[in-house]
Amino acid sequence: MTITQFNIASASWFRPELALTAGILLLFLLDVLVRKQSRYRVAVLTVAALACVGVAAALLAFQPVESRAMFNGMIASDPFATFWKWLFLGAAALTVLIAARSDEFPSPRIGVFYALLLSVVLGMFLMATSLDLLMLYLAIEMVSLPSYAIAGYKPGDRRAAEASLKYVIYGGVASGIMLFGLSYIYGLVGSTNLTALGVRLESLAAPASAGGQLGLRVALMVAVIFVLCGIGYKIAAVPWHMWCPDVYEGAPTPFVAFLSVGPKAAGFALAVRVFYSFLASGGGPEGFARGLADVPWPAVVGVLSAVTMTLGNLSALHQNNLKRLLAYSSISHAGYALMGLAAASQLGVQSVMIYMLVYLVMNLGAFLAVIAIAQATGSETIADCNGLSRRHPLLAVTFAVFLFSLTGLPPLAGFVGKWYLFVAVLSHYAGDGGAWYVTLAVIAALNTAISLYYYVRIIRAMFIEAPAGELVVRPRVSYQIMLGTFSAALLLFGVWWNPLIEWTQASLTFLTRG
Amino acid sequence: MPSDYIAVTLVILVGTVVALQFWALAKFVGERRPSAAKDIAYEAGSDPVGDPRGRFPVRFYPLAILFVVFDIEAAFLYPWAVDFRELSCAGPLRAGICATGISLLGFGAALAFLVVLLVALVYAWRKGVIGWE
Repeated sequence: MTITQFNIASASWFRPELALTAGILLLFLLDVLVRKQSRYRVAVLTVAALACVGVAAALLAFQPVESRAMFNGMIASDPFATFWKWLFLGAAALTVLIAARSDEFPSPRIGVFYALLLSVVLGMFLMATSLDLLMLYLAIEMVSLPSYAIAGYKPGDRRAAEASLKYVIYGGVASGIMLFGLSYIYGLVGSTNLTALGVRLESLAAPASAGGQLGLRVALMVAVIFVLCGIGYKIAAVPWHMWCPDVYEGAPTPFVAFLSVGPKAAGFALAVRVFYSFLASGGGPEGFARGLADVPWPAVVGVLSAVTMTLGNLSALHQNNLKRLLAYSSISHAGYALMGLAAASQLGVQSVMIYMLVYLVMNLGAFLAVIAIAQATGSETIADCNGLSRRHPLLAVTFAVFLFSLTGLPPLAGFVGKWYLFVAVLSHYAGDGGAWYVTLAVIAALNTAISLYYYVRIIRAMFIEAPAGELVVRPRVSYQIMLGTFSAALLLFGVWWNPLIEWTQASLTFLTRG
Repeated sequence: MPSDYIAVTLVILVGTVVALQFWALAKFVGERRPSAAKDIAYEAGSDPVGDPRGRFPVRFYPLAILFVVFDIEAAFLYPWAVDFRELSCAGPLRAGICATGISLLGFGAALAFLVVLLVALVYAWRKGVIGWE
């Protein structure tokens, strides 16, 4: 088969992405062509965005299930990628529904938001599927660049400008460092393909050839740390988290809701693929990430995980702005999910998938509650929640459900997600370095207790504090429906989690080392 | 060779040490005698006038961005033009001549590429980027 024929054959496996691309172009055109009155305009654009997501989803449903590399090994199509794609499409559809009724997107500018949002989704698709270092870098940039634009969406707003600028500078530096690390890897191995990388690196790092080569080990270590830096920035892990609170505070809240679940999940998908491909050494998935450059990479990830969750939680303790609080909370949740990577096993990967799925629902729900509160009170501090249970019981109760689920209390789905992360880590207790895994689990348990404090601060304000003044809180009907559905889903999958397990189990196949 | 990277590592180390050394020398050995004249901006050699956060028109900037987009379009069309014969032939080319039927692949690929840019042009146009007020 010639390269051209191979590419054409690949394109038929690339239909969801093609549909998204066409949808983005269509949205940009509609944005300048539809100039009727404002409500009609919002309706047309929202329907178009949802239709685009729907078509992509329909094509995704008919995607062949077997694993396959496309476009000369640039992109993978496998069940693992399909799982994440469903997750991304779900997040996108919900974000469109939230944004359509939000005050933060005036009708003249909502079309651009939808188009940029779908561009981010397309980038996330590529992040979850990339099999090549260059593709991986381009995918990360494809997610980042529209995000910078949306972060500074509010014209003339100082906080938005600050958020956008900080995001650009931070993201630029992180991606530059990552690119530098990738260039080292290419220099050492002579290939950019993830499936080839692992095998070649392994033979380089084998004791016989690496015995005296200090230079090789140092170069490998530097390269991998630099690549970690790029991934860590995307999932907002400590010490690459600094952009997170400021961007969350300044960017439009519906987009922040998306940012806190979508690109983070894409970052984890990418991290899993990268770690499995070139941090692996022998013994299949169970033995992955050991021994490269004599550094126990699972331990490094474990330390990152512990630091991330602790710092995120401790910083969240004294936040009064709800968006900042949720930003630090999302940092700590990245820490929890990193536990799954540190476990370095099939079970670990599966637990990350389950956690991200549950986290999507509960975090979107929490942000939706913040949006509803901010629409009524005009600001978004904990004091704005005072007496919410008497003003709008549904909003207060569902917000409490999301917060308890974020803490990880049973019988909510957040508990199931956390439970599987703990199981993945603790299943190592008898093996090599078992004490460290137990330590990590203990740190995570302590962090869960800490996080209960600041989540309950909000719940206390809602249910115990007296409402200040006479203020009518009446969230939009579509928000009420979504709040109800999200909490019902969290309750349902908190007691009946078999579907989550089965779906993630079936999606565990992915292309890795060739 | 991987061992070549020792040199790179050394350069990084030496660079860091040199930078730190100048900073440390200035910090701990250097004298500081601040005066009003030393505190004013020296970047462009003139006293700052007005608020640096003031707005200024960016008329030329969108045009420059548009130019980059269409410049790259032209650059991408060159390799396509070179391969156009091969792409337009359903079978393999023999001595530059296509014995089998014609394929629309070459034309279609470039068309899809141009449509994307056309949408960008329409968007920029309707947003009033091309006008000069």
